[in-house]
Amino acid sequence: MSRRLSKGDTAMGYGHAERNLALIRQLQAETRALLCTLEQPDPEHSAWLQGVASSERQAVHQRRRDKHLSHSADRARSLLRCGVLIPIAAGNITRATIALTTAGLPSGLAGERQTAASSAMKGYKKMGKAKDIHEAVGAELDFDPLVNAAGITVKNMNGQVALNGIVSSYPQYLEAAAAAQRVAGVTDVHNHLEVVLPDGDYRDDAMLTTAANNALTLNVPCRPVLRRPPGTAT
Amino acid sequence: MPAGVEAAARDGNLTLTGIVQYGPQRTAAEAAVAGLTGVRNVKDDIEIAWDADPFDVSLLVQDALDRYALIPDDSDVAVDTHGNTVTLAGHVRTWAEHDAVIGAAWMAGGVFGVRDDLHVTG
Repeated sequence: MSRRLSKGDTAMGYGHAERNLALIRQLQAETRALLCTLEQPDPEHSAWLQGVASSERQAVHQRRRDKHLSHSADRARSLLRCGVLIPIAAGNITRATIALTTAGLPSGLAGERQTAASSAMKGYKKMGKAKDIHEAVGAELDFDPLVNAAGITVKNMNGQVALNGIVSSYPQYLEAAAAAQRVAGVTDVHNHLEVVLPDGDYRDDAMLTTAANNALTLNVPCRPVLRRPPGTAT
Repeated sequence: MPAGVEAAARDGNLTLTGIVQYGPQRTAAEAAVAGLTGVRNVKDDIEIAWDADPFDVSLLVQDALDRYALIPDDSDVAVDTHGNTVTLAGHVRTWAEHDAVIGAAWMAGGVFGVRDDLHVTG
């Protein structure tokens, strides 16, 4: 989630205190809703949970709980990072922390919030997104079913992403670059991937030439790929 | 595919040659061979032949941008054509918008190249 102060907003504007409080209330409500869903396992899960031993069931439940909690913690942290909470007077933050604690959060998490709040109070600085982009591109490559991300290493230099390593086909080479390109924050992709064909996929020159010319004759232009592969002249 | 587009393979690297009229025909040719088993890379040497007036090309592209849903009404993207190269400059908010602008420029007849001076504001 990204929420940032819009143009013209000042960090010290008194008028924003109310809006910030509203945001905190919304966050509280969401946290409460999340915690509610934790108590009652959703039907989809409970079906297969029947077959699982109770100790495992507990572990699964715990994992799910952790996931939900880390989600809400992330959300709170991103609100803090975006500076949404900064303009609020210190008293309000304490109030918010108390309110969050009463919402049923374990004290450890509330403590974490408080630390985040106080460190944010010291000085608002835009957090570097370098690590996030690196992770996000890696996640997108993993997520994309058309790419085998196992042989790919990602390097991020301030939004300029370099892909190194090997893939096993040319379409994967193209798709990997496209996947990196669609991640937020990526400004450019340097595709240094190498296509290493599996032995079974190797075709000799004559065979490939015939196949390619057949493909050109047999194909009618259809939904052209507009983005040219990086590295080729446009 | 228009007649005259040919492919030659060398150790898995395909080179496409020939003459077409529109940029998208060239990319379509690339797409047609990209998925073949045994392809390691595709080099596109297809030429685009068309006798077009640069002024008309700018106009056509600008009109296309005005029609597109992805491009906001207050977009500051400027279209400038010299010879057969379209230069696009200005700001776009997303890569989707960027691709739509680049795609529109390629779509016009007689465009040999598109220079991308767009700035993605993110």
